[in-house]
Amino acid sequence: MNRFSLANKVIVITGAAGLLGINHVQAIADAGGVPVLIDIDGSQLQSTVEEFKKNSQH
Amino acid sequence: MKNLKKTHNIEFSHFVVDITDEKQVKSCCEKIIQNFGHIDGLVNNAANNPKIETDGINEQSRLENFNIESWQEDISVGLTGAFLCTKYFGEAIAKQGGSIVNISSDLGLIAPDQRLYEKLGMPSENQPVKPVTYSVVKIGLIGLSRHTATYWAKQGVRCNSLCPGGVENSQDPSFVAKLTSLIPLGRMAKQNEYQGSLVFLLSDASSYITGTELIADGGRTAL
Repeated sequence: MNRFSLANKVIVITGAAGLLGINHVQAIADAGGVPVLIDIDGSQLQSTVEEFKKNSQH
Repeated sequence: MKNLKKTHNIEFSHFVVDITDEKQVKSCCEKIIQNFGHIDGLVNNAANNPKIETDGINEQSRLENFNIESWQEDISVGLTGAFLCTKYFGEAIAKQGGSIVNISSDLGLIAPDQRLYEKLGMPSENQPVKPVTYSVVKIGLIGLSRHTATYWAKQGVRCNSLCPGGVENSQDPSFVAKLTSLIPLGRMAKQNEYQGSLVFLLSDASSYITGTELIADGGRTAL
């Protein structure tokens, strides 16, 4: 058992498009979690999500 | 964004929300539950970065000059926003248990060393400072963590504060030199260096840890 696993955990991150927020999202995704990104800056949030999608494995 | 690692195929669900607006937070929470059926964790990370600036006459960051609009805006995002997210997302988390992490700071534990922010040639009464709201917000988040941790303990919700030190972000070299002289590890944190601490606090690896602070500051507060 991996005690550090976040598999299937839905985790909300505020300020997700900021400098540290992006790293929090990455950490949660790497641990198998399901990050839900919240930010007040729509365009920054959109570009953050697009970058993550581009980098995700298919 | 250049150094993102490959991630598994997830949808990166996202919402544009003003977390100081209760209706928006409530509506966002309802949508997430509709979509996923549950919420297991929350990272209260959003905060204003209070400005250190002058209007040409008076240094606005100084306590004597700090205007009430800036105070209210910083408190609103940093504390009211975290409260509203805890209220709605936390209630959802309490249905089956989970973990909440509030992103505080080493400056949630110690006062800012205002010598770090001094500018050469400025009279002492007009030197910029780390604004009062930064300390108040970051210490307030530690209080929110302790309250939440005990309030929902029986529901299996853990809540802790992560207290990071400063992160490398192309700051002025003289500022970095002054700051790193206060840090036993001799450097600022790299941008991805809090990922392990965050995953630890969100995961079962920290299953008996609640209502406390994880200090990741290169040893600054140990001095």
